[in-house]
Amino acid sequence: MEQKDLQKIYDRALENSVGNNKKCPFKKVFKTVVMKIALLTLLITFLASCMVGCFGNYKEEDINFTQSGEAFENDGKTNGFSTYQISTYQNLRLYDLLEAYDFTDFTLDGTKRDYHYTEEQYSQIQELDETYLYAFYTQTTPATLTAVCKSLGYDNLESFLLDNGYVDKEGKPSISIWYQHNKVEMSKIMKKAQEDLNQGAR
Amino acid sequence: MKMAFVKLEDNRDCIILDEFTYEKNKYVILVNSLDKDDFIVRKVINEELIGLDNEEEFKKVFMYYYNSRMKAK
Repeated sequence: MEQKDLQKIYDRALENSVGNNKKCPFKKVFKTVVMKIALLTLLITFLASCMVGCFGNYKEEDINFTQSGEAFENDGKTNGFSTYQISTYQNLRLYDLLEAYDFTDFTLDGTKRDYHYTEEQYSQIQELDETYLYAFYTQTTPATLTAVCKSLGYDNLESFLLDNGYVDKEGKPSISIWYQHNKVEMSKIMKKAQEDLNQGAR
Repeated sequence: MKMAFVKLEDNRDCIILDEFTYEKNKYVILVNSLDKDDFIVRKVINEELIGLDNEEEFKKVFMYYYNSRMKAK
């Protein structure tokens, strides 16, 4: 997508978002949708467009943001998916599972969700397995993550990492090694989801 | 996938892509369910979705979101 197209998306989002006269009730309705990976890609494109839009006004004071932008541009792919596609997909996959079981009671702490459920309640979610754990790690609070770890039979995240061999050369639990494994595993899940979707469309 | 939707004041039906808090405010990121290029950021005040104050707020909020949420690790 060209920069002028990204700028258009950014400008439109800006126009949509700014103005205190814009007002409506925050009433959620849950619906089942066919969540195409293409839509996720577009979310990422939008983020890129924001960077493009920000470059003009934000420079030295937002160096971290600019660096993120560069990382985005140079991002490698895993099984054809970028890190950002994988990250977005696995977050939405987690929310989808929790919403399917009406696990929608949470408070926000920044971008972290603190879900108000117990280990026993998480155990009731049949599909919940280790492939969801990384999304819990990045999107939820430590208390939520620990409750989920316990529901999967681990004392905590450290014990999960040790039991599954996600350790560094010294044998210490390693998030980085887990992250690399998770990226490959999630890309396979996405590939299968995409194939299932394509088969359904035929 | 089961996803949360919300209807805007102009009747656009939007998918809630994400929710987060920043500087004591709660924000949501929406995408128009009929137009994938149509993104919206709103602030939640008293159970209402309100437009942001200005472009400065829009940029700050989105940079915060990008830096904290979209990083994979």
